[in-house]
Amino acid sequence: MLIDSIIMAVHPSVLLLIALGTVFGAIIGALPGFSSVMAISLLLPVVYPMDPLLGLLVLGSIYMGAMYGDANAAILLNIPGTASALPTTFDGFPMAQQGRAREAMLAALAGSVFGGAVGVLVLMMTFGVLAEFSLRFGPQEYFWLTVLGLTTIAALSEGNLVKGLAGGGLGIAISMIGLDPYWGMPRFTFDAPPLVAGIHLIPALLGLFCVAQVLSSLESPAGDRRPPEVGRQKDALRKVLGTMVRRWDVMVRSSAIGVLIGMLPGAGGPIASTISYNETRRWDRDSRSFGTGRVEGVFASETANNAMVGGSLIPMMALGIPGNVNAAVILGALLSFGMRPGMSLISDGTGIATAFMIGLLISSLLLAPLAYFIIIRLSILVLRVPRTYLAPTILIFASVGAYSVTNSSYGVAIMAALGIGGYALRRIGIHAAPVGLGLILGPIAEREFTSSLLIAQAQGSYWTLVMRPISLVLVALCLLSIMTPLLLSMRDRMRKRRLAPDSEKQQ
Amino acid sequence: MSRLIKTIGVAAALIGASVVQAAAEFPEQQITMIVPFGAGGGSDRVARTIDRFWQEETGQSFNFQYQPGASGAVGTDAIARAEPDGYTVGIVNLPNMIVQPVSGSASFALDDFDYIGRVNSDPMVLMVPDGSPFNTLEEFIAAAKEMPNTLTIAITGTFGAGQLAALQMMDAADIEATLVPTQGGANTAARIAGGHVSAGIIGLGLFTNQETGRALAVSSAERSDFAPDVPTFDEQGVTMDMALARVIVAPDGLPEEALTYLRDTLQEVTESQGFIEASREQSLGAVWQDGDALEDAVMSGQEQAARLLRQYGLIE
Amino acid sequence: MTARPLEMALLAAIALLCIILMVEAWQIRPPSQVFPLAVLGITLALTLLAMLRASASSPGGRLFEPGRARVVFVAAAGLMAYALAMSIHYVVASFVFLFLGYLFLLERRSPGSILVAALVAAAATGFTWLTFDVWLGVNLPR
Repeated sequence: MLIDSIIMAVHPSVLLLIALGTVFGAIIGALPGFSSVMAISLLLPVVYPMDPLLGLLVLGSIYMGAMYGDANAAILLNIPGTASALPTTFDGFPMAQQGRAREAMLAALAGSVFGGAVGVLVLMMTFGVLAEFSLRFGPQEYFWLTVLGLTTIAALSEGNLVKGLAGGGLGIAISMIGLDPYWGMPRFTFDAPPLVAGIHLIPALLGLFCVAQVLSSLESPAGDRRPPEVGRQKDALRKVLGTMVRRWDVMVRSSAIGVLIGMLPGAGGPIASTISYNETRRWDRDSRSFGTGRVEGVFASETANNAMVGGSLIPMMALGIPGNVNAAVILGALLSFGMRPGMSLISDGTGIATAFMIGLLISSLLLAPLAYFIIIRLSILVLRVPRTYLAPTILIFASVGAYSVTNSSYGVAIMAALGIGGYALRRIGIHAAPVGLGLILGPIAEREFTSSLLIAQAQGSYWTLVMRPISLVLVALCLLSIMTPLLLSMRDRMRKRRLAPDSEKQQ
Repeated sequence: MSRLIKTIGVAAALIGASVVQAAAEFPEQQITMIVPFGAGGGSDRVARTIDRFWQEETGQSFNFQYQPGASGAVGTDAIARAEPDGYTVGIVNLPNMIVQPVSGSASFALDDFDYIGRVNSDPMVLMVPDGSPFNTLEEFIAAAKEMPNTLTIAITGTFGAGQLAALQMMDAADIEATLVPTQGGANTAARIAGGHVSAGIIGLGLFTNQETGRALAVSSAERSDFAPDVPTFDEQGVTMDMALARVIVAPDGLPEEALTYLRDTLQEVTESQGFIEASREQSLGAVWQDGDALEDAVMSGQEQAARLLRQYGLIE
Repeated sequence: MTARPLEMALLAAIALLCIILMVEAWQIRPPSQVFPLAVLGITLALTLLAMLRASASSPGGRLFEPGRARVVFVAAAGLMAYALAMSIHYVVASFVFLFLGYLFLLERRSPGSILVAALVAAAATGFTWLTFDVWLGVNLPR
């Protein structure tokens, strides 16, 4: 039976389609303002009349490719191609600035391949069992999960915890503009009609990361000449593979986190990559250096967000409950081909579902050659362009991307406002990353908190917010996350005082 | 002489052009379909299904435009404000569209639209997790009466079909329970399946497409083919008819020709075998309702919805 | 301008925003009141703390190297102008923005480089229009 599915999956026409889908997905993922969901939906009309296996694999490979592609813009331009690549910017962009762009991109690729493959393998092997576990996550667990993600802010802002947390709070505050999640009424909109729609995420991220970055780059004259050779980094591949093997713990942990969080309906890519980044940093010997260009940071983020692909399909295929919107669209296609979620998928005798999963595995593995020979080459070219031409062009791309989300200049307005505002904030020490995290995780945190509160009130006890097995574990992790940087910086301060009691206070 | 020929030539050309103009029918260019939600969501998929069979009927496809925001209010408003030349239509959810003007979170009104028709109608079910102590609607209602506001009911979003259905049920059965809004239908189903709430109200389509839990009642007038074992609310003594419907609308003031064309074509698409089957696969009932009947239903629906919402203090 | 006045001004603006939003949040009916008030309150406290720290520290250096402030401000203003113009006619606005942008940033202008700027601007505009409007169907304003 399995053999039949494998034979189906390696048929040349299937392989070709997987390759095309993966590349297409990678390109779409790299374009800020575009998500894999948009790409998948564009292709739905094309997919319907197709053979079920081909149709599902087109969608699946685009999904997989996009979760890799979003890393390239993150590394080269400090713009996360999709929100899931946000943590990739934390170390990826510094690496690029140090001339190690090739290493970063290869790490992103290696991580994506590894994570993607692991995610699909877990999907194939555990199918029913894990799906049941994912249902045990209720609003309380989701809330603590987002809090855990937000504590990453503390980790990133070790230099200045106060400003970092304030930035995060500001991000959450901005995300609250729009409709109230419970009453459905407009709030914080100051009677301005466009604001009722809220501050759309992608234009906001484009502003915070892309526009602010461009403005920042204009502070120093660099201009017309081509930037110095990026450093051929001939040994980049060897270095990356070596790190991957040496740090197998990072790879395994990130994959596990990616799959686990992918399984939780509604949790999504950004949470997976953020928590993976945080945990990798936590368990590292030299955690202070994260954010300055640690390749492990890139591994953590990218491995997790590709492992999430397989993870999100677990509850979708086993229970009919998709892990995120991408999985939901694929579920729609699955249903339209006459297939039903559940154990019947693998026992219905057609072997299509199994072939689909094998095809996804192939997609993640194909990323390696496809990206290496095509995409990374193309991306490096971007670095060679003199800043004079690069800066305005990036702004145009970002503007179009922002426009496309809202189909009106509202998106561009958001981008410009957050871009200029974000730049100003950067000058006073509040960086884009904490604000971005607040923007992404804030709405989820609020919704889940409100639901948890309602349930607690109905059951008459506020203990339910915390006194649940999974929640307790998560709360403990949160406390650890905040305490560690605090304790470390206090220890540093004491050390400094002991060594040089006459030196003036720092900061 | 040559001038005369020239004049006749020009006149002939002009007459010819105007004849051709008159003969050119609606639609002469691509029609835009505004989707007030994100790409890939439930509304998008229904719209894509319509597009697929519209293409088979007419050879034309729609130009999709996504305008997400404010639970659909932004996109719906965009439809209302578009040029009423017949080249812009939109897909809207009922009852969301009915409620939004009343709640003050939208700037359109129901008479800003010309109603093309309804393409499907999805009744709501009361779903409980597998391990639930409730086996019938009666048991659920009894428990709710014993412990007012203690039972929790998950619903999808605010001012949507789930919320109105829940309010209608609580009103008709005279019970009080805590409503827990959740983002996205799939997440609502997950929440119910995981036992984090006592029960939940979701669309029949969503319920039958996933594998967990039981349904205690369905809000359609008769038992549904998709779930023949589920008794209706009506037969268990609770009057409830709220359903989630998807309708196609256009801005108010369309030229007669365009309106007729759109209505007729949409009806053909909705009643076509292919569309009915495609809808079946997603467990949606393809139930056509023509524009005029739809408009009446919408107007009277608004009164009922407003009354319910006011009663429960959700709007002023 | 030096760093510290800017820092104080911006932090004060954030604090003010928090206060205004908190006032509005107070009017919201529970349960939706809790989360906003908590978040805004914490942010306000943090902002005030940051202001305290900033006022105690050194005035900070110059914000901009000589002549660069102009570049940044023009870029920001240009972006705002483009945002408006783009919704009227994408192709024209983009070409103009790119062309003028390149010229502005070019450190040495010669007839050759002006020509290059025009060509690149045209190419970039064409490429984005093709990719987004034609291929991806985004409907850029025309």
